[in-house]
Amino acid sequence: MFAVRGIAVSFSVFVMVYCVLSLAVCSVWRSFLPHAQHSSVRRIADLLFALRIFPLATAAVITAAFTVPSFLLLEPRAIEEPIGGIPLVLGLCGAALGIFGLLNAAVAMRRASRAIRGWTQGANPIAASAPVPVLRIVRPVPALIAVGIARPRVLLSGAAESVLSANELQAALNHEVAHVRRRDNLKKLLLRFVAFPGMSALEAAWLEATEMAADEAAVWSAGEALDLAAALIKLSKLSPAEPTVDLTAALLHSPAATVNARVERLVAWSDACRVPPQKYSPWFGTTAALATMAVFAVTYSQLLVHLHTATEWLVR
Amino acid sequence: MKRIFHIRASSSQLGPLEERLLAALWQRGPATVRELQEGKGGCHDLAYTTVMTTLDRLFKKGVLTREAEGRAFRYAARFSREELHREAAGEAVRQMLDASPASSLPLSYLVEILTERDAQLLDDLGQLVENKRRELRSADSRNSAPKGKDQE
Repeated sequence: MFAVRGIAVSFSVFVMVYCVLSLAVCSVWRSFLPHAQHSSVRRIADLLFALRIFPLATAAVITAAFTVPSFLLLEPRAIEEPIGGIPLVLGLCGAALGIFGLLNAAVAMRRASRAIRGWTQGANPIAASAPVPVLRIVRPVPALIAVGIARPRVLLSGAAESVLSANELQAALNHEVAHVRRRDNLKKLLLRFVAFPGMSALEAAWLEATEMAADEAAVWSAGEALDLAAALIKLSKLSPAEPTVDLTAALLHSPAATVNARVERLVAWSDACRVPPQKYSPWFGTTAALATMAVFAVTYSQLLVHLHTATEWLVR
Repeated sequence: MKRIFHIRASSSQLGPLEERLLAALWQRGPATVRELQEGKGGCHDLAYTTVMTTLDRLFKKGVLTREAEGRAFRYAARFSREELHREAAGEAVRQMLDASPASSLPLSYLVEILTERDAQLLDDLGQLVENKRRELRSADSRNSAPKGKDQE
């Protein structure tokens, strides 16, 4: 009974924190964008992803670092306290949320692996100056796509290869490699796990930002930016917009109208746009970690007591 | 906003004055005739009766709502700008579908128009890229020319 009560309380706290924070993120995420408009698009993409994942991360940390220890340390095991209706329902909701997330992620992975299996039938590896394997596929679509999470690869259709010049192909491959380096497919899997109603606009904004961030990472000069823009236009003409497949990052997955913004951005590219990767001093991280540890060392036991009081109130 | 839309079957195309007053209401929110005429960014150049009759016409077309306030009415836009555009586009498509005996034909026209538009857009973008390339090349040649002269 003690274990069941502990699980119910932990899931209850998790689901309450997760839902409240998710609703807060749903309603305020747009207000962060005006502050970030002078940042690079890579930073904007990171900010949007951080906002999207914030409710899960915070709920998980609060549950693991506070709720579970407070219950284990402060809850008397001898007393056979019944579980109230609210924690039972909330606990079941938390369990359902977790199961739904896992199933959603599993379905997405299954769909992606089925699509990749279809695309890579008869595919041949080609020599390309890219840090990930590049396979030439037999089918005309997808024209160019980064697939896989643990074993990332880039798939290139023969038609796309023949229609692009060497420089355009290299710029397009750089774009896909940028997706692989930023682990965008893994992030998409995480988003499947944390599905929450009302988050689709935030996810769409993040997806758009990841495409632009990959464009930004793929080019080092105005000439390369034009090569990538030309590749986008040629591939848009070559094949209609491809339907998005879960957990993949295609060079083109939207109609011409939305390619427009990317092309115009690339045409307006200048050497001043090149944002060098931000290098943070290790002192920032160390100082922040030490400060956090100091705060917790002083207040942890107090926090556990307060949280246990709150969970006691919840159980009753 | 230039296109024809029908909030009601009897309503007709919005005129420039109607569009202007609707835009003013979207910008400032619900307002009386006097407030529209005298407020900041209002329609100072329009006579009171012109604003009143135009707002009344928009109300009868179903574009505005109104509430009595003393002896006057306070008018408000029934739809947001986006909703009105959506309604206008939806109405145009509905009319097109109603006008054709085979329902699949108008849809194929739509797909055709969208495809043509996409192709045109891609051509325009291609031209943009080519122009920029030429610009870059001429800038490069301008930069390299003085160096060549210096070397001579």
